[in-house]
Amino acid sequence: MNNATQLKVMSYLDNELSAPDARQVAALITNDPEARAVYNELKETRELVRGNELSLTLKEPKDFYWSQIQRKIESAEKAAPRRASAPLWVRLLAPIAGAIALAAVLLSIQGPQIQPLTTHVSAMHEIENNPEMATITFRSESEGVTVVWVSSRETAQEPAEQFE
Amino acid sequence: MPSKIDYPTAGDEVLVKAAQKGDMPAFEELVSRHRDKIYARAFSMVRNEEDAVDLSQEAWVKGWQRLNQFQGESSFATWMTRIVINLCLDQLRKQKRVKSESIDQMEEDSGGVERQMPVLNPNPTENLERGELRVRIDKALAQLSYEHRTVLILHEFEELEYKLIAKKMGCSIGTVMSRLFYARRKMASLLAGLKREELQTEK
Repeated sequence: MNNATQLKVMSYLDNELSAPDARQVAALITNDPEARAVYNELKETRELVRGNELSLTLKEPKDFYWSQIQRKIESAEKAAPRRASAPLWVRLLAPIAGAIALAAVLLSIQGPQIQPLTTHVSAMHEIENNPEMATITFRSESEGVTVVWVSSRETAQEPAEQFE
Repeated sequence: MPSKIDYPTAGDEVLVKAAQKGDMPAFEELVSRHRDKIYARAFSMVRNEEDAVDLSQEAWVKGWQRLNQFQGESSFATWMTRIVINLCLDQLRKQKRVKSESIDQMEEDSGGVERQMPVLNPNPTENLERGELRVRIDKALAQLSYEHRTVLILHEFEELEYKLIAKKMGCSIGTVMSRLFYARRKMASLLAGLKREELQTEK
């Protein structure tokens, strides 16, 4: 029996095969003594191990063990205090405030060489606001310009680490 | 006025909800209830008492920090076990990077001796008390390479599917199958060996 077949026999035992494959392996186990012997050995080992995990008890006294955990929690919180989530209005206005600040800086640097941005902005009107994509589209017919404002999205959650 | 929780008699769900609101004594009660289980899982994987204590404590710290992510889709103990398993896997990976390639790894890559091994009857249960049997199985587990032991623990004790084990261990499903197969055959061989030793001692 080759290795691939042995692994199939094991997958059958663990219910990891598709229905057609499972039927095929079931027939093999019935008809082939070698496959049956491998199947029985794997099954017996699995049952032995599964039902007999050694239970261990911590030697550390409860209070001592907990005090160490508590100290670690407290020192971690001191080192990196939980970031308080900013209110919604702050999160929404932050990109706009940033844009205004940037525009102000640009104007102060370039001075009279360019027309004030406010002229363009006032001539524009919002034509699309897509909160899912976090974009707002403005169009100025007189200038023949379309501006798409893309704001960064708040990603307050930690990296997706699934435990459940 | 909020109702006071009687920590020792409250269910895990009640304690978790309280802890999620920052109730540290509720979390302390959860630690007290499940600390042996979390430590035992860490020890089964790293096979070193000191490391297992450290890892189990680290798991509790992480558990506290991420308590708001716990949605109750599994039991709290299962959720905590997953955390400690992830920490153990990280630690074992780091150790493995430092160490040179082990003989076990080379054997695994070449198929090992288990492929050619004759089929055995590993059952050493006759005349053995359950406690004794558990000690023997634990001894046999300790003799496996970390990859074989881990895959066996995740499959037999945590009852994870091949796909999930592969994800946790950062390898392919084929590798998981191969490791599980050799791990079981090695266990069969070790347990049968223990049985033979016992018979010889009795004579």
